[in-house]
Amino acid sequence: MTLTLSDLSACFDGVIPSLVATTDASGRPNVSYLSQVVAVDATHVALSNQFFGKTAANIRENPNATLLLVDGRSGEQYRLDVHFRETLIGGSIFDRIAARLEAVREESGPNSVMRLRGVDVYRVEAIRRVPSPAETTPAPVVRPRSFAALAEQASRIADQADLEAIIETALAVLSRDLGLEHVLVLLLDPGRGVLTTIGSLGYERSGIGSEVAIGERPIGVAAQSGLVVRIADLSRERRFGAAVRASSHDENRTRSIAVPGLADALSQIVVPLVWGGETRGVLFAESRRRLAFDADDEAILTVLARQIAAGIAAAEATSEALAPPSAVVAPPSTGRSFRVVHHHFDDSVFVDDEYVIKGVSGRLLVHMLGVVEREGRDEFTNRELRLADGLKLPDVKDNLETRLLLLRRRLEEKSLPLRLLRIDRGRMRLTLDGRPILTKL
Amino acid sequence: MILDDERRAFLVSPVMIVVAGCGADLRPSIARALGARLGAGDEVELVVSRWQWPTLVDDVAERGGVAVTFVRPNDYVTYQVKGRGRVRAAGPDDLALVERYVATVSATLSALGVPAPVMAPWLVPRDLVVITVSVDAIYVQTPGAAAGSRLEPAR
Repeated sequence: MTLTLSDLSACFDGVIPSLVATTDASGRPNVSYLSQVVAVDATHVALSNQFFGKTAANIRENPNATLLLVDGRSGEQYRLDVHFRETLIGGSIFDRIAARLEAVREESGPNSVMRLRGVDVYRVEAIRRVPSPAETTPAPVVRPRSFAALAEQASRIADQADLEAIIETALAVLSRDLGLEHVLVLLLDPGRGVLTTIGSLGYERSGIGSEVAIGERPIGVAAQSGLVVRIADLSRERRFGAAVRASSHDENRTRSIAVPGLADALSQIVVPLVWGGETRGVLFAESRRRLAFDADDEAILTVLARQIAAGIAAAEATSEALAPPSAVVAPPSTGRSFRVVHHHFDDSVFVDDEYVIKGVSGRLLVHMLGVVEREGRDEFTNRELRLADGLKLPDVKDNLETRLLLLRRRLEEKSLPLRLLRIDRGRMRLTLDGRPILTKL
Repeated sequence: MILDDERRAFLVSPVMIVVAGCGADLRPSIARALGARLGAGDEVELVVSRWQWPTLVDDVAERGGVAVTFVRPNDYVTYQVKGRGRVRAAGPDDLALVERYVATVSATLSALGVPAPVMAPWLVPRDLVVITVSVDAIYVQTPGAAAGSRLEPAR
């Protein structure tokens, strides 16, 4: 049987380092480990070579090279005869490898991986399996997948009209249908350059409202590049570092919410939510298993991520209420009171000394509390919030639905004496269990 | 002397060993070795499965040029040595060396989370030969700024 590059997809996950052997014009060999090997098409591979000048020098004298690739699942080894074609210093293949290296670098700390200078493309002339005793090869773990199942999953997400239902349905599909155990959905706030967690499953804390800056960590790298980042085996140092960070986080002090994460994750995948050429956020999943996500998972998640992104775009565009808010006066609150503190410099809001939220979502909450206090009205529409002077929402792409959903989730999660309830499209009610005493600092 | 005590100790510690050679058509060949032993002067002996890596063994026997990379899997500290190699049949001592090597490297890889069935294809002690390398240069290849630099002979 002739092997093709598509038979070797598990070799490109980078779990077991690949090797490249070259020689100079006189035949003196050199052998180097490679950080990344990527299949470009059916007959070409691309190698990153950040460190080893000798390989680069040799292939200019003798374009023949031999690769040793290892399937991270089975341990099977493959010898590839390859012929150097060209060095790329930009373009989509370069970007793909650069994004993956950048993600690894973000995970394992600065200076652990050098920036990519170039990518060498080779034509594959022969692929041979290195002999090994057959009984040592375990059957690959394959989850049942079908196009029909994928169509049904994508349709379920596409059937949802409002943002909350889209996120909830997506999380249900990812956990129940695809068996993912630890998932985050983060949406992009383009004005601030951060991604905010809007949905999560499988973590001790939900982390709703937690933020990752664009370009930071694999999540931020995927959002910045618009490319999928898949890491199949995280370094031990990274895991240790994450454990230290997670244990020292107090959101009431830092006014930021810790991003949930497994301290001992071995695999991660980040799929950007892209629609209309615009990144709206990312889908993040991780696992304690090595090689938990393969190329098929990447393809399936890409289809679903596109569907989620389309839904988010539609929900944000059609979020206007059809009727004005009713002037119903809120029932008088019960006797107890609670303290709401609004810090002007970052719009952070604390309720009874518990950090709730900051930024535009914080301003929205304080604005609505002000209306309840002044007018006795507790029902609001998106339209009036967009028109409210004090809120300073961006004119276009205000992501109002996202910010309101974020606020609603945080209020629920913190078990606070105030709740934001969705009535119908573009309309909501702020219910108060007690009398707020608002302080502005 | 190119190999000082520290470098000699590293080459025979539980490290992954990869050998490259070159064929008559300037096609590089590659193999994993199953253990190293220090010889006289700057000689290093490597045990290789001819069953798994026939091309490399033939290339070294015919042309002699070899490069050998030793990497410690815990921290990726890496050295590469280069020189001339010659091939001989393996004896009982060499088989014992392979058994020790497979045991210590298996334990090291297990501690790093590599399952036993996954490492099995890299550690196949079948049809063994010994490649004796006369080292004429050693290089640091640990990933980082110093990667690729040639080390001066030890004093």
